[in-house]
Amino acid sequence: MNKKSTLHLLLILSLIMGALIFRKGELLSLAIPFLVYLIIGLIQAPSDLDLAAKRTIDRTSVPAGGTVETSIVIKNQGAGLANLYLEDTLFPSMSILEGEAQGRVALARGETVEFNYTFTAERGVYPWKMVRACASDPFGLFDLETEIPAFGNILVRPAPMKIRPVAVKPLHTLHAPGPIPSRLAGSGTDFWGVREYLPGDPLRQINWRLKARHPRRLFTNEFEREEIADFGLILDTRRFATADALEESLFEHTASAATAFSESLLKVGNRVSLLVYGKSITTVFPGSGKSHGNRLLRSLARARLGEYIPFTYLDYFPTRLFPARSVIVIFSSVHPHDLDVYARLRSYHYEVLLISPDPVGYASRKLPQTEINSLALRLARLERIVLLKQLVKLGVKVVDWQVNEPLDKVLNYSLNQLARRRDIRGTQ
Amino acid sequence: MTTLRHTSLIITAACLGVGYLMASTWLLLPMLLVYGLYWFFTRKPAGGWPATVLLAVTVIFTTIGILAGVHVILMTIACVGALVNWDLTQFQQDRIGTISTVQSTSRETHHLQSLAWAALAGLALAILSAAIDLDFPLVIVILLVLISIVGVTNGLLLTEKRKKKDG
Repeated sequence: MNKKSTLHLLLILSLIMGALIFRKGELLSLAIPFLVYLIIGLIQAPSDLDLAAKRTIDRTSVPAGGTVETSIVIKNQGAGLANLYLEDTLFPSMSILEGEAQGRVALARGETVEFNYTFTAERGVYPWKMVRACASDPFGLFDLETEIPAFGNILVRPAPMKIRPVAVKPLHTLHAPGPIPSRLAGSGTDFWGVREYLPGDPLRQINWRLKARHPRRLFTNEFEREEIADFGLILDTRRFATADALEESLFEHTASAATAFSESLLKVGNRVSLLVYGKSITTVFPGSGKSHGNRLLRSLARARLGEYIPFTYLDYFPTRLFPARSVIVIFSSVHPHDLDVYARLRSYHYEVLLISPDPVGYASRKLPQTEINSLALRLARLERIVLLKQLVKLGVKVVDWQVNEPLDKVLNYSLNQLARRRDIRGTQ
Repeated sequence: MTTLRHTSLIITAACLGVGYLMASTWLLLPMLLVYGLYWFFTRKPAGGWPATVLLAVTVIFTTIGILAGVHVILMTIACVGALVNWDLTQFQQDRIGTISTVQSTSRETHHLQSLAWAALAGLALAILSAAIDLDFPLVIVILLVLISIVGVTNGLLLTEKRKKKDG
């Protein structure tokens, strides 16, 4: 029974009570049309629902903000239904652009109906399991609800960010061909050195100039071997402040950067692992290739900002996630309490690269220009500069990223600066 | 559909008006005021609640009319008119989400057929019952009423239970 049938029942009962109280039989006559209406509804109410649904989504993965077309075909395999309400599950972060995700239909036995809608959604994974169906009599007095299985899934990737290959040069590489100079002699393109000729060396690698100087000896050119490396990505999803909207918006940039960075690493064959660190922790163990890329993408799409927890929980993570001497790339706005963890990671001989989207710069562009705001931002900027300098002292490669600037440009510039400083120190 | 809804509303108001005029009661004025207000507020789509209120008010008006001695057939027609108006308003509200025009026509036809059956059968039975003059002692009437209330309620609950079991 629903609200409509209850209303009718109440009207009938009131008229009967009125007839009794006032001892007026005519009042009973007034109740008859309502009673007939209720009975006709009851007779035509469906006793059982046998519906089948098929969901078609035009793509399996889409970047945030992209449009997705969904089509649902419902077939009535049971008795005819005069009044059927169908409703698809809508997630809060979805917005419909065209069409309807619900509707009323009349379906005869064996008849099908199709409803389509186009939507756009925020970053995330959206799984559908069913379509809600509610059949009732033509007057809508007696409902019969059911859930029709209609599975579907779509991955809404972080907003696309194009980055050119980043010149990260790890000290340790894996012995498999790749793009990273390994500081070892082998097959490659960059000249590495010369050694004495050994039987079996290809003739085109013989250094003929040196042979001219030493006519009785042969020398072979050696090239720097190019290999792949292990990269561990850590995406920090902890909330540091209470400025929800600002932090959420900055986090979207961070997630996009992490996605673009992981894609650029995987594209050239590196092994990449991922740790999404926050209230809920997600791990993806090292791997490479397209399917591994999809796994990473799925985890990055699911990442949501959560409440603050200390970074020290990282101590309990298996080393299998970050193989020894790998490069750990941390995407975080950085909290003063995290310094110990960075120091520990460095002490374990990990190379640590911190890509830190600047929350102060971001807030300064978003907040109104008032005296208090500018003072607060100045203090926060000073605090951040001190914190980043402390991290640099620990040997962490810090990239201070203003999110309105292209990441690859900032990254390449910062890494080149760091390499130059290292070279200068090396020559001193 | 809208024409039908307006026609039913006019029939209801006319039956009540004629009945009250014949009984020469002052209730004609509040009745006209209520219907005028309803007309005014439902010029733009205003959800289903004004029609529900109007249905309840019409039942009250018809009850008062019968108590004031107005002819029962006029009051029954007024009641049926209000019921049709309420039903069509609710149907129009539901129709907003109808998936296609073909579906809409099919549903509309089926609904109107069912409504016509319910209205005609209800009206005929009500007029028939008004014509039959049975004289029962009060105790028997109360007993019959109680049996019918319990019967209807149990019947509805049993249907609900069966549906839940099947589901």
